[in-house]
Amino acid sequence: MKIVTVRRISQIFFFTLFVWFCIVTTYGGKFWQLRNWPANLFLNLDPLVALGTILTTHSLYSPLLWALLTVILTIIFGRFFCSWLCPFGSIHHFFGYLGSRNKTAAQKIKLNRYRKAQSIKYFILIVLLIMAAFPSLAATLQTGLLDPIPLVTRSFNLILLPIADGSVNILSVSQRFYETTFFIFAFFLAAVLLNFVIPRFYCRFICPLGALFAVLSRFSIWRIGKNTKTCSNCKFCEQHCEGACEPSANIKIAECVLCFNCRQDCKTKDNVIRYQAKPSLAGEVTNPDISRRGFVLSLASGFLAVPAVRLAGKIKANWPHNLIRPPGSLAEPEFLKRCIRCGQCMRICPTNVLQPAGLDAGLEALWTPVLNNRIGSSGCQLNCIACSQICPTAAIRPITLDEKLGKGSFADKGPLKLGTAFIDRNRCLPWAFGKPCIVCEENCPLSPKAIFIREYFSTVRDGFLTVKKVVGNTIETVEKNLTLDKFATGDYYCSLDGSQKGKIVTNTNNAITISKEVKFAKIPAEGSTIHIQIRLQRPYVDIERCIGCGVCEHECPVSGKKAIRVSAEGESRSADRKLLL
Amino acid sequence: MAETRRKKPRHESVISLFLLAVLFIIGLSVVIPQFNLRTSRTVVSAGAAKTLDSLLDSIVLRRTPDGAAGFEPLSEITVYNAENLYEKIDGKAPFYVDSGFEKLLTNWLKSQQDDQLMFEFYVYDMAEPANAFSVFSVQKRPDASPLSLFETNFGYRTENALLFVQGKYYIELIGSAKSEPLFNAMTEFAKQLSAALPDQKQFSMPEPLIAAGDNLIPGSIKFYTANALGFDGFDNTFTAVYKIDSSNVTIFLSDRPDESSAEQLVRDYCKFLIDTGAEEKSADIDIDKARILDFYGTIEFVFNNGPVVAGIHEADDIETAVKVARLLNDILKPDTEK
Amino acid sequence: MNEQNDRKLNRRRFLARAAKAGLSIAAAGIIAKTLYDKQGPSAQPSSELVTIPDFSVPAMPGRTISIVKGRDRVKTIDKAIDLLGGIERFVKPDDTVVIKPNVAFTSVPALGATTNPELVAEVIRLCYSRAQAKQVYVTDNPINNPASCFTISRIGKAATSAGAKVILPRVSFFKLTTLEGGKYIENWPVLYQPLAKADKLIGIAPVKSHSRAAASMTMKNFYGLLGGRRNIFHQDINTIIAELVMLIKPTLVILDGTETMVTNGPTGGSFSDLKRTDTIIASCDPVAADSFGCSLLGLKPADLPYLAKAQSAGAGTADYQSLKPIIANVT
Repeated sequence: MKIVTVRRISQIFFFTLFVWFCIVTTYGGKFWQLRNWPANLFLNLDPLVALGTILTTHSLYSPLLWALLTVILTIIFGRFFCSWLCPFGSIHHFFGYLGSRNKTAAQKIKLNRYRKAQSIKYFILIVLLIMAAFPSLAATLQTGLLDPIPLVTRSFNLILLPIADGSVNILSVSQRFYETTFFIFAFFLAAVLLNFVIPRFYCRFICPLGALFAVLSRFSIWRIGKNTKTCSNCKFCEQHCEGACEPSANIKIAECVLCFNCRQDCKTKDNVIRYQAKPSLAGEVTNPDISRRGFVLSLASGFLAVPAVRLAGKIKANWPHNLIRPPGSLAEPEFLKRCIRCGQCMRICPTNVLQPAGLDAGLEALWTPVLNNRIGSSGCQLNCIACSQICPTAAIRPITLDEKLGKGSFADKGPLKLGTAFIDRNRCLPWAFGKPCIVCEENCPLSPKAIFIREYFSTVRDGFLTVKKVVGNTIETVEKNLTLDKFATGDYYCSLDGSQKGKIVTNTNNAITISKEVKFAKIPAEGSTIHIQIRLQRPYVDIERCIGCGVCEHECPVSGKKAIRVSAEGESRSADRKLLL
Repeated sequence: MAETRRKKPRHESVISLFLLAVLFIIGLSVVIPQFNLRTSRTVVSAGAAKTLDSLLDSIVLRRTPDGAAGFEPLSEITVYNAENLYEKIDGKAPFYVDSGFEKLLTNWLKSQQDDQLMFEFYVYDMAEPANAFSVFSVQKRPDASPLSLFETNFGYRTENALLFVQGKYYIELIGSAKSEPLFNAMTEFAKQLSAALPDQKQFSMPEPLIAAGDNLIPGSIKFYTANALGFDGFDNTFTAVYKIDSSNVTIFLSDRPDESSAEQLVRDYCKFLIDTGAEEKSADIDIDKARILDFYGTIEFVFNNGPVVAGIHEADDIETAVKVARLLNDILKPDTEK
Repeated sequence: MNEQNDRKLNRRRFLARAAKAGLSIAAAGIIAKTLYDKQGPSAQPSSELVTIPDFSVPAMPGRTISIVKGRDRVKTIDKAIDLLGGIERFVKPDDTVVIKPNVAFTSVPALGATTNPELVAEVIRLCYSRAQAKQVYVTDNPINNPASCFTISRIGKAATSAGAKVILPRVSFFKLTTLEGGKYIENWPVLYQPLAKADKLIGIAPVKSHSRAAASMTMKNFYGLLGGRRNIFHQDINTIIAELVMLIKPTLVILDGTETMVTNGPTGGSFSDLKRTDTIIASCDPVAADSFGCSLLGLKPADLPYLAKAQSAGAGTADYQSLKPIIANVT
């Protein structure tokens, strides 16, 4: 059996596994839903995630210990991850293959030559790591933007799967929507399409994880190399060289991704190219090819990037009020130290309320999860802690249901609040427009509810009528232009000189009939004025009880800019955003 | 150009196959745990027993005709499950949890008249009537006086407490003071609760213990779901105090799945005793395979009759032990043999 | 020849590389191990570790432990403290005193599962009127709901009536601490806030049997200063109780054996669980107090493994006789 065959099987195996894990990241207990599937396996194995969080939090969150395995294997064997495991790499490999299928051998060899620009990925890695290592609170974890595993996870989770599932609706009952997806998609698509320009474009020039592996593979025990000096220098080995590492000459070990295509393609009788313990007889270079100037430049950029990004003050006083984070999220500086923008939380959220943030949350928070209560099936469900259970880095720390609801041992702390709902009295139907509505109060899931009602009577437009004659419980009016039965809905009352109120049962175009249960204390005199009033129930938010779940906002019938909106004041995770003492 | 096929070295195939095997194992280790059917990570905590909750809420203690004050709940009913039971009863929690505990509902009721008079109720859902009887019997206080309130005779009172078993529930009502009006209110509560609890299987005393009847000290029967007599082999074991002549001995009996496991249990218990310093004694008894051991001055007698293991614990002398054992053996004999 | 040299060179290079690879793996492993974080982040950002101050007063040989028999709690405890030198030996004028009674359960005083409120009130009274303390606080982190516990046990009322302030635990009052040489108390939250501003710490506990630990007395009383999911320590109850006295060095402990809970501890429930043993112990050494106290339960010090553990850790002595306890009677 050829080693390249196993490599291809391995790529297919892990890619399938990856897609399967994306599929099962669905809330539920069926076989094709989350259950116990290790859906975060690829993220856990990713050493850049582990290293990034080690630098920002000075701790290694336990599920990320898997990365140590990858690190050890890379130190021993080399960059096997890139061409045997990485799902993003497999995609590039495939598209690179498609792109160069009809080219001649000479053209392919030319495409796979080493380019100086391949050192860009090291600079990217340095910038990202410096930003993460920045002292104390200022550190920020931006590795997730370019780290291939979070990148491909978020691309599948937020774009490819919702599109695929859109017509068959197996994974989700209704179409799932995600904001800013165009840019996530553009990113993904660009990376994939660039393979038609140069194969494995992303892997060679951009991938910071590949750069990290390159550094780790410096001391690998075995490496690709030439075993004999009788090489004819035909360079056929470089036809399908994935890493562009020039195995025919001074092989650049740092770039070699162990695809073994060189070994496969070599046409010489002897075993010229081998995976061996001794260095290549044609010479090898183990260090990544970065100049000192480049190194210093990227160090400096990393240092400057953090304060530059923080200038907008989005962490401090200028914090964005509509940035509602998932329940269990750490306070914002801590959150940004851990979130790798993998999109798992958004994927698993059963109500589809978690969305990737755009730029309005600040550049630092790009594609981190925020709640958008207008999207999805209902705000944040009361009895759900799915997002906190799946976050691979504990940016959303794993909470129990007791903690979320403020029960059991958390009873004295009270429930976790995501923010507080604010009623916009200029838009709310009963407040501004005299129309009955208590959808928000009805849907508040808490018991007792965090929205309460106060009754209010308001005279309708054209509601001042002059009495002509009173017959029993019917008042004939001078005005003859009343709409038939307009006031018969049960919400309308007739107010007689301010003191008595009677519920209107029916009306004709010139007479109001009041409910039989009302006895007039004083019969309205001819020529006196009666008011037609509508009984409104005006909602008030009890800010001590409100947990900011957003169900009210979701249900509010004022569907554009909602008349009740959740804002992050009062969120439990931030001591400095308290609303109440 | 003619391609000279180079020899594929064999070690390449070996390594390739080895790597394939590794992939296969990875695949298996990912898939196989899925058939374990443990609950998924995104578990929603078990909701409170809605019906029992509202049932307890519905019990109202108004002023009774004899003038006892009305009582009202102090707050909401609190529910505890196996994980947080310790938050209520601390060190006693493992005892309940190990005996099959599922849920506890508890609340205080306070007198509307007198601030000092209140009682707390504990309704333990033990999943099975046998478990409920177990925790009831094992914790029985020495000063228990009988309670003839209910059909079930598994209940007793102390100066300030009322404790009983109904179906799979073990119920404790603990009063804050020695007070008859308080106790009357607790009794009323117990009556209402007992009537309102859904019909369910009640614990039934095993035949042999019923047959032993008057010879057993009433209320001395205990049922251990585990660790009876300090021996971990004695799960699901009854103990009781038997009156013989003018003294009392403790008897025990345990129903095993079959005769051979019963015989094995006898052997295991004897080994356990011998390992901790007992001396085997011999005596002329007509009970097959019976064993007698002297444990630091008291006698242990253990035998099996079919699938039932029975015996005497801490008897004063061999004669007494043999006598009671014979009586027990007679009771255990199947009807056809009698 | 050249080939041989080549091979040697290659082998040396290989070994050098292998060594470097080995070192890198070791380094990665060490980093992973030291930074390994099983629990993940807590709700509050990580804070500095605190140290619990040492509240003990200088020892006076022969005046370390007193054992007084008497029916009336107030008279008995007065005598017990006087025999050790009076409250003035322990509390100085203008001191801030924290009293840590057992308020663990929503249980009425008569059931004996919590500290008797009379004792709390009396100690507070002594601190104020005899010792001229500036302020006395009463605190505990109960197992059940704190407000209910302080109310139903009547300790809250007793404390405030005597002029003390009750400190109910709040999340921000807990700080992380690590016990040097401790196995379990590592980065563990303790109720630090009341202790931070205190000069003296007095523990008051009833004598109770305990299903896990065999007995709950003055040492186990300090469990009530732990926060977090402290229940987890019940799996190694003897070690954690020993660690408690290694962590907390009180000024004085009072062990109330007037009505000892001999069965069904630590919650009891029936008056018949209590036995009148009419004894109160005052001690500067909680280990010694407990060593005597267990006799009221019909136990020997050897029955309580945590006594030996605490003694070998140097936190006190289980051989209370060696401290020459002062024994007295009060009618």
